[in-house]
Amino acid sequence: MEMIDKKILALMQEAFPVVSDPYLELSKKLGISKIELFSRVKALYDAGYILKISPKYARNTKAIGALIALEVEKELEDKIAEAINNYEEVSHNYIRDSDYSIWFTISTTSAKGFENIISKIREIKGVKNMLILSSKKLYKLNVEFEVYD
Amino acid sequence: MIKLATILNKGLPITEDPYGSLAELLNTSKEEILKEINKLMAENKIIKFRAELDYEKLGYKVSALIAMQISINIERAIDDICKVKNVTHFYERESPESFPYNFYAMTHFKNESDLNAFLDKLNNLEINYKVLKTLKKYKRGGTKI
Repeated sequence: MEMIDKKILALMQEAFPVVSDPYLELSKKLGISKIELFSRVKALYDAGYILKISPKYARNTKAIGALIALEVEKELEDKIAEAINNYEEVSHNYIRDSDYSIWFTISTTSAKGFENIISKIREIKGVKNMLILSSKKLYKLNVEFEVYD
Repeated sequence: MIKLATILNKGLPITEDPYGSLAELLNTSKEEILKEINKLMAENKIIKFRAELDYEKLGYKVSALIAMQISINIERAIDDICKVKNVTHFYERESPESFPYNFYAMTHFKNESDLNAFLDKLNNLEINYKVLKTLKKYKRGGTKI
C-alpha cells in the first residue's frame, strides 16, 4: 500500500468531517486534489480496507449489556449463530476456540428486554449451556488500528 | 428521524458528495441532513463520524478474546492492559462460579508471536487467563441510536 493510502486510512479512521464537502476538507489536509482523494477512497472501499463510514455513538450508560457464551451441538452451530444474528440487540457474534463456541454481546435498554432475549436464545434447538457475563465496568474501548506498522 | 439512523448505521454513501447522496435517499436537502446530524452531535448522541477499517486487511490476522482472572494488584493490571494498543475492548464482568474470569480483553495481533508477547505480560502480572481465539465471524459491531 502506498504511503498516501495509509495516511488517508489513518485520517478517516480518526474522523470524517461533517461539512458540506467532506472530501474537499480532507484533501486539503492531505495535500492532494479532491478528485485524487475520492478515487483512492473508492478504491480502498472496493478493496475492503474501508468497511463503512459511520457515526460513533455516545455510550448509552443506561444500557444493560452482557457477553454471552453458548455451548451447542456442533452440527447445529452455524444455524444457531445465524439465528442469533437476527436479533438487532446482538453484536460481535463470533465462533471461538473453546467448548463454549458461540460468543456474542447483547445490549438492551431494559431488564425485561434482556430477560426476554435470553430466554428466546436458550430455547433455540441445539443450545446446551449458556454463560451470562454481565458488564460491570468498561475500562477501554478503542477500535482504531495502527495503520503505519 | 429513525430512517436517518438506519441508513447511517449502514454507512454514508461512498460518493463524492456523501451528505448530498444521503439527502437524495431520504428525499430531503443536504442542508436538512447536515442540520439533523449536527443536532445529534450537539445532543451528544453522536460523537463523530469515522471510517471503520477491516483490521484483517491491515494485517491483524490473529484475534482473540482473552478471559482473565485478576485478583491481585488489580489497578496496576488494569492500567498495564489498557496501555496495550492491541487491546480494543476491556471490560470487567460478573462471572458465574463455573467460569470464574472477571475481566475480558478483545485483542488483535499481526501474528502469533505478538499474541504470545502479550500473554507473557499477563504471566508477569500473575494473571490466570483463557485464550478464546476468533475462528469465524458472524457479525461485527453494530450500534444504534
